[in-house]
Amino acid sequence: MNFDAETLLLVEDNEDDVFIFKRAYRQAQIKNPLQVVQDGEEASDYLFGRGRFADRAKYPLPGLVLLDLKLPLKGGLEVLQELRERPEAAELCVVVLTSSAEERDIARARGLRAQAYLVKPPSPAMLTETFAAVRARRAGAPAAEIPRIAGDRFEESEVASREPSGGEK
Amino acid sequence: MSTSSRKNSESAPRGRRRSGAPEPTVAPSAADGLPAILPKIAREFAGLRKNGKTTTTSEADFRARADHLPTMMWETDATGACVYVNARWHEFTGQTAAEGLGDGWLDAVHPEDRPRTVEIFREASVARRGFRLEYRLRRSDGIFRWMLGAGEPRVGTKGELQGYVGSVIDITERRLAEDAARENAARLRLALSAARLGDWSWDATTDVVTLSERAAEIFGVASDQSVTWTALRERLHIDDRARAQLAVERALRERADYDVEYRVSMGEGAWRWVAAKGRGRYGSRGEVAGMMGIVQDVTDRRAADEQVRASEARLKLATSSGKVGVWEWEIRNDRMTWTDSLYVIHGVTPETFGGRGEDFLALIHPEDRRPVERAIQSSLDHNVPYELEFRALRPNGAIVWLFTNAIVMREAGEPVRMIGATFDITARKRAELGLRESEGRFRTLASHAPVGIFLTDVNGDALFVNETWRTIAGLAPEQVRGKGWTEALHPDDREQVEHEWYAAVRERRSFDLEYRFRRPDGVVTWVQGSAVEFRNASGGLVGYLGTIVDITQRKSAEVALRESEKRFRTLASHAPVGIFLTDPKGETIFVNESWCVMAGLRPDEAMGRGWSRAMHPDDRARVAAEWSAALVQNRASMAEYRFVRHDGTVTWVQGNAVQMRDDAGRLVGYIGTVADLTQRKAAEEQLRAREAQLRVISMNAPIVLAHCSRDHRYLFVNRAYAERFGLKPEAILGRTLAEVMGEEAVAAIRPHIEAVLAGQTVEFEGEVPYRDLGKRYMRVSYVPDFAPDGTVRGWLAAVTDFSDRRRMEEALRESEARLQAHAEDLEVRVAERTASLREAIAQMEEFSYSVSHDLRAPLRAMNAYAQALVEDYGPQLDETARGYLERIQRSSVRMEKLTHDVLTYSRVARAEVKLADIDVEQLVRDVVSQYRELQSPAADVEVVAPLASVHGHESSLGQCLANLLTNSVKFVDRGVKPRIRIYTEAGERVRLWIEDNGIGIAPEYQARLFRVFERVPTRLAYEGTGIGLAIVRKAMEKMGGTCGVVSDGRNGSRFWIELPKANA
Repeated sequence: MNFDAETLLLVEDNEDDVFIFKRAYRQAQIKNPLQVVQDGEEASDYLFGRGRFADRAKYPLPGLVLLDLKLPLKGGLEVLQELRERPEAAELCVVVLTSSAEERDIARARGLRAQAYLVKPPSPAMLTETFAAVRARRAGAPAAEIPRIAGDRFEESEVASREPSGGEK
Repeated sequence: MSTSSRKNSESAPRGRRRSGAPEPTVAPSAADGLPAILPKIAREFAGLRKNGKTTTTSEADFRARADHLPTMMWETDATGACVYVNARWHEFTGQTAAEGLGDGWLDAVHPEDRPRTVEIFREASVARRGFRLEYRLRRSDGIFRWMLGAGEPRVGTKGELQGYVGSVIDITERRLAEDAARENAARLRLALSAARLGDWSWDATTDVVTLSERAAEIFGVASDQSVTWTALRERLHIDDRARAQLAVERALRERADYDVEYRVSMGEGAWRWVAAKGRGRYGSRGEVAGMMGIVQDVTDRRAADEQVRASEARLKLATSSGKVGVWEWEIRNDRMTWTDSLYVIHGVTPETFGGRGEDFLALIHPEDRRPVERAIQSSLDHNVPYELEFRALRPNGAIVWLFTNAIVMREAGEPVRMIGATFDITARKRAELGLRESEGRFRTLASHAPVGIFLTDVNGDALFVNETWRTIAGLAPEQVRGKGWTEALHPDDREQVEHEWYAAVRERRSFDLEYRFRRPDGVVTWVQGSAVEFRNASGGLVGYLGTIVDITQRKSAEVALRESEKRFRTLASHAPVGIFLTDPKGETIFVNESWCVMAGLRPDEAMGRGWSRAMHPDDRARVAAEWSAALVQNRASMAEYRFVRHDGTVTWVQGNAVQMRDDAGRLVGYIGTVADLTQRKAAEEQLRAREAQLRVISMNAPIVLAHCSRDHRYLFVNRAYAERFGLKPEAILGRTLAEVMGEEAVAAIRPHIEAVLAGQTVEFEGEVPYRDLGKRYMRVSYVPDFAPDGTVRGWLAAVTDFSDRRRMEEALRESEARLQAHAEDLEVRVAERTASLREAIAQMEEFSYSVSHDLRAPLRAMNAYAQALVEDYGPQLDETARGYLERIQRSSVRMEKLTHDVLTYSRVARAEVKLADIDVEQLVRDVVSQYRELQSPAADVEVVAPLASVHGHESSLGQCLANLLTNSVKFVDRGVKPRIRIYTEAGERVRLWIEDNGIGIAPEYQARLFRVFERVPTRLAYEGTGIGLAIVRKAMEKMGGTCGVVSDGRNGSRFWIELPKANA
């Protein structure tokens, strides 16, 4: 199956973040159709084809889930846990997209076989890189370690020169 | 012979008294070393002695000199037989001149001291050495006094022993003081032993600890070996050593009591708990001289069965022998208590013996009653030891010889009781007396032998002469008759004697003449002849009875006097006492060799007033006062004082001096002796110090001590004892137990008292109902106080009052329980706190989690929309609007960075890091690869491989490296390409250096550099939150590492971090 035709499911409650994602998605010229759900319950319902998401034609099973961790009603990691417990979703490709690089979250995400751990805000470059990795995996490349995080900082802009944490003199 | 054969002393001598006997005019020259005063004295005494016919002129002369010495002197011949004792001896012992000679002097020596005295004298004679000894000598009043005797050999020019000269001085008072001190010391030691305390003293200079036997036992060391405190401390339990040492040092420093308990190794893993208490000793300048104190085994209480059995056996042995009786005399109510054995000795029964002092006196031989009474009296009045031999008369008429000795118990100085032991010495005495009687008979014969006796008719013609007369005259009995006796007269004297004799007969005068006999064999004998009228029972004159006495020796006066001089010189120079003579003003005119040795002066230095230089300055006034007092009171002076030699050595001496007066009673000078007392004085002082020490210890011992007599009276109590009753020790002495503690208390402890008085060592614990203190819980030890004869004369008590401790123990238990409850309560509270702390941390974590997620979202949005505006509507905006947007973006970025760094910092601070070995080189390369600004062409980063591996937390270290490296490349001058060199220095710890070519950090800012939000002012504006290096420091701390920077503020910086090296 062509990954580029597969649906992307973005699980994100914050509309601003949805906006930021969509901008980066657009700028990275990603063609996959995008579905957005706003909390953990919805995410579960969507993924398991429950409730209003029962129509798989309208809400097809996604080829990649972009999952925020801090969600209303049900946390992202809970959702991931449920997924991994269901045989049909055990191998579903999930990328965590969250605000902070908390060690414990990264560790749990890795344990639940997340494909990547991205720190918001997503930049077009990040998305391009991530999608390339997912494609490669789908093409049968060996399951790599969860990629190192490209730094939990905003993408560079012309006005803010990139800096490491701290720095004083 | 039964009538007087002696001339009346008042009858005037007549005739040629001095025929052939020149005036003794031997005047020693200055070369003889004796002053002119001596012959003068000699003459005076010679004159006196002449009347006493028994001595020769030369002997009298010698004696006159020697008798003048205020000290008893004696002289022996080469065989050791006494040939002379001076007048002081006669005065003291009451022996007659003759009695002291030969070995007669030994009669005056105490029987017990005789063998030793003879032995020491014999040994000294064999070795020809001087000797000193102490012994008891019987005074004329029958009382034995302690003497210090000394003798020096007289050696002739050829090295042959000519005899000994010696001196004797009375040291009784000293001995008494010493005995008292010794008894006190013994008693106090007993007291310590009653309390099972050991005592010790430590000398700061030598570090040597002197242990009493008990102390040595407690420490488990041999008592006869000297041990240092350092060595002793090694025996302490390792945990107690420092504490013991600190206690010693503190006590010495603060002059406080030393009081500590510690464990002492008994070997093989056994330990003994020892309580040590003590007090510092300080020298005259206040320096620490040492310490003294006591130790007590507090480990356990040992059964005393063995000791009890032994003392019982001892007691039984002492009283069942039947030769020893023990008595006690209560002076106040005049009651005597006797042991059964004493009744047997005196041949009476408890029923027939009245039990009062006079009843006892009645049992004494009438002749000995007065000496016994006197001895008792001086013992009571002067504390002279009651010790004498006397005869007792049993009711059946038998005489027994007894030896008794006793001690006087005093209360407030008043004698209250005598306790004594009496020994039956009849058998020994009989043997002694038998010997003396036969000696006396022999001596009588010997002394009578040289007296010739003659009897004449009224015309003076010889009727009878005795054997001695005939021996002197050399005639047979038949040749004597009539006028035949005159044939025996020396031809030169015959005419004169015949004339004198027959004239005296005619004129009925007494006859007294000195003349010579010459025997046919040529032997000439000088005699003194005298005769008195011999009348029959009806008063009719029947003839004359006369005697002749051999005075040959006296008649060779010149020779004899010279001999006498020599002897006195010998005496003076050999005498073990110093001898000096002064003129009436007290200026020295003669000193002998011994005096010079003691005083450390040459004879010429001692002359005049020179002698006083030798006397210790502190003693001069005292001695001078005694001297003057003696002069005024016309008595001998006696004083103890010190000589100080040039080399500073001090000699204690006893000096005696008497005045010499001429016939007219004028003072002609002083003659005196000094005897060396140094050894004795030193021993005495040592003993006194020892006694004082023991007294201080027992008086101040923390244990309660008492010494009681048989009749329940206190003989000694220490301060602790008295304080229990709120009294001073003096207020208790002499009182009875019942008076002090009450009848009820005494009733409670009576069985124990009876046991100890039976000779047992008693230990008990129990409640004692005191009259004034109420019921107290006591632990008590009693030790019997045995008299020398083995009877129990009292006991020593060591008491511990446990009441307070019991109460304290209860209080302690209570407070322990409270403490336990408190501890449990605390535990609960700690658990609660811990839980709430955990909760707080969890909340904290939740908070920072929220911050990182929720706070950043709006920032992201701000940034993203600003970005979108710029991107989407940029061309429609003017420069100002775009500038504002850039500012929004920059602020949001800065806010984001701050948030991020604060979160990182708090994460690092909270994180539990698990340490592992880290490949630093790989980590550095990883970090560099993650940052474009660390890579070419932005910067040159040189890694000086290999980098040493460390033990740390990988992601924390990665964070540190990233912060340091990005920091280094950031702070460079404009237009300068950052260059970084990374290398390690490896040891036990690894130091990683990051060297840059940046702007450097001035030393004054370096200390602040690693603090949160600290930023160092720079010429250029550099972006930064001020948290990066704080994160480095915190992360290094968490890993057990350190960090720092070296920079002069101009030529770049060298940052370093340091961690333990990798284990592998």
